[in-house]
Amino acid sequence: MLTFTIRRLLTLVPQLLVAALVVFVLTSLLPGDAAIARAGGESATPELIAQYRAQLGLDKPLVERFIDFVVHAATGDLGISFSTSEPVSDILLRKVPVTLSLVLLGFIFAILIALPLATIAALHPRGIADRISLAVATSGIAIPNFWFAILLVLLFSLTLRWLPATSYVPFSTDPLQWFLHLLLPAITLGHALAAELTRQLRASLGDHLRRDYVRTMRSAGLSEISVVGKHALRSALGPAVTTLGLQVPIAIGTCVVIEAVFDLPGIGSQMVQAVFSRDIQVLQGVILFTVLLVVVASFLTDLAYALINPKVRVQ
Amino acid sequence: MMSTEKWRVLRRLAAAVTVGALAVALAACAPGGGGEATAAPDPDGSLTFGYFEPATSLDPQQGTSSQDIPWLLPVYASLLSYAADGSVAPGLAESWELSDDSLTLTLREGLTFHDGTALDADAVVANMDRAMTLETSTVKGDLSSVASVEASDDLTVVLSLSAPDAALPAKLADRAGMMISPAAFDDGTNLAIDPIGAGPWQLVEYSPGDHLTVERFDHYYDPESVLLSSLTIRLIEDDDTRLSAVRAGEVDVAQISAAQVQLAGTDPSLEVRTDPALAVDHLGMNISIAPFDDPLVREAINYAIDREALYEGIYRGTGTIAWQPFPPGYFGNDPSLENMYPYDPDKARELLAEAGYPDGFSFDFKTNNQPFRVQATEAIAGMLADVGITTNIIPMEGPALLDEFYYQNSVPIYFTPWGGRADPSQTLDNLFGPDGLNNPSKVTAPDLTSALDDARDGGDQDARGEAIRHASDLIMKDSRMIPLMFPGVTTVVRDNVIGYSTGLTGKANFLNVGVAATS
Repeated sequence: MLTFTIRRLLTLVPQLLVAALVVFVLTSLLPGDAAIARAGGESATPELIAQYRAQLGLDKPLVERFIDFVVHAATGDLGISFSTSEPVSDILLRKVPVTLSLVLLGFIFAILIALPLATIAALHPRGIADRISLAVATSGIAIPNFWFAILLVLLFSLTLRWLPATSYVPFSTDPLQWFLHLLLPAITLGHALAAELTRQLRASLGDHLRRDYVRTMRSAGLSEISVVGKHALRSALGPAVTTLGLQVPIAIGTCVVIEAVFDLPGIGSQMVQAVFSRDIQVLQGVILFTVLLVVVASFLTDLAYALINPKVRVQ
Repeated sequence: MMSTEKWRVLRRLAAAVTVGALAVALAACAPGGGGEATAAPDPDGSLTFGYFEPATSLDPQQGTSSQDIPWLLPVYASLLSYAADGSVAPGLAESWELSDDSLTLTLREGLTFHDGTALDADAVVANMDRAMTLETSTVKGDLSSVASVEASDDLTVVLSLSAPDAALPAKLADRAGMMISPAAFDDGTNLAIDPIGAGPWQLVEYSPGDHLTVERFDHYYDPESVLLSSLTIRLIEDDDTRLSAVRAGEVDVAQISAAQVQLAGTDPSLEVRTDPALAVDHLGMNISIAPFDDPLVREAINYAIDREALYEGIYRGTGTIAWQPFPPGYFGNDPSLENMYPYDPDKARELLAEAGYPDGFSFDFKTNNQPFRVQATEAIAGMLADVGITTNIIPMEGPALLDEFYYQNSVPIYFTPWGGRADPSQTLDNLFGPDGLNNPSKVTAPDLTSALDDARDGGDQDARGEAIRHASDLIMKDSRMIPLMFPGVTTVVRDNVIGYSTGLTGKANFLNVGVAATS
């Protein structure tokens, strides 16, 4: 297990380097000049544009800027925001907890929805529970997130007045308010993520329930709870864990929309602001961080997979 | 078919529901409705304002967007200020005297900044020096007529002018006149996120791209006007989310779009108001690009646009139709220009034929991809198609579009919301002047240039009004502008808020605004 972990960790380095290159090239190729945007767009004077072009280092060759970017990023220095002169790492420190809270709670909701639905559906294929689970899964994919979120706000915030409609409270300030403010956003995200997870888990569990070892255990008189919960479900979790890992980038992408609807100050909304103000330094930092998040998530997925299924470790 | 018995039950039910709803509505009105005029503002009251654009910087001398102003107004006081009608009034300076070669300001006594630094003539000189010399200063242009600044005593500042500038007092009531604590710019404070001024409120917390919280500053020069103990400005970019936040009571005041007026109006706890403002939506043009270089073509477009239809369909009955750069009621408005180009598609086709385009022409109609601007562009494209001008609509991101319009000179015409300026000369010079930043063609005419000079150089308000009207006449005669609408500012206000209205500058200001004490 240790060699597997180390081997897997080493592959992270080239992954991140390639990601940094892609991030850098893409953000540098954005149409619309960052110096013009910084100098005020509609009211920018040519001399102010030139001033900012020099001050932001945009007059240096692309290769030099890339090397600067990678060397500094490796030491944790992501540069200074073009617009507010704040260190990008400070901005990330402020905004990342919001998005991480949302993603974490979203996944918890996804699992809370998917696990029981998929288990009951697999136990009673083509029964009512199976149909309900299919309906929930389909709605998670078919209903646009922003629209589902607006419906939730309309019902729970504006009509029933149970939950806040917008904004974020840090966990350290008030854990209960943190939870209440994130509840609707997390349900929106969880509902979207649960779809694939439910279908994947149902198929995989249904497959295992038909296998010989399950029949043997049942005929040996093991209780249904032990057969399904302890043995079949554990074996069936493998593909579901992979699905969860693959959904991390989807979840972060979905956050861009959800943060806008619920006015959460996370990295999703930061990314949008950075694009519009052509704050390339912030944009690079935010994207690089999300890449890091995805890479780490896929690493953890592999690790979890190896824990559940020892065969993977020797490949 | 329903039996009569069922109908009767239903009707009774409906009546009961109506009465119930009325009772609820009346109960809701009782404390708030009549209270607005009588309720005293809560001295410990706090208010949350929802705004749609982030500040580019909280350093007034380095911010680059006019949308920074609502974020700056709580923290910074200006040397002069605006009265409700848009004219210039005293500010940190209690009086001023303008001549052709100087502007003398007399400061109030005993002023201080939030950090305790004295706000005297030396502090003003230090601010002016920074504003005029800082490499990335964005107010340099506003102060271009100022040759030098001197303190003649503790309370008197003399700005020597290199040319007459009647617009200078108005500019000093705006961003250029906002005073920053000299101690802060000397010690390297990052003013972009850590503002220190002498405004009615001082900084408590600023989280860029999220919110700004300020609390009452006890040494503000006009303490009676500061009714709120604390004020929070929240950035909520999405229109629907902003309105939801107001409806849920999480935000007290917010600007909304015309499309939301109907929905907001259904909520009895909200007041929806549209205040007139200097902003004008128009078709921004680069008149060096053919065929828009031909006045006949531009005139045809002016006739081809059905402004009534835009008012009803796109602006949902808010705002005022625009026929010139300045709105009715403002001193630069010329009543004789009203309805100058009434909707007349036949006339438009004739003019196009006269210009040599009997079958019309076609062009790429680029637009900012904000939904409202795309809608407006589509509506206008339909009207142009009706007279034979076919268009290919291309929605683009804001910065990319501006780059093409202002710097690459490759966009002939696009739907432009002009935010208005403190002084009418700023609007005219920018949009139509030979060096106008917002006149990418830089094309002008000798008579127009001299009219712009007259408007800028001054005299009293009447003389300037005359010059501005003359300039507007010249602009509209050649169709250098295709004005569409003065959109005004549409705001939703919760019923606990007392005394809110948006001034002519269109920027939210919370002086003299309070909230009712909750019993």
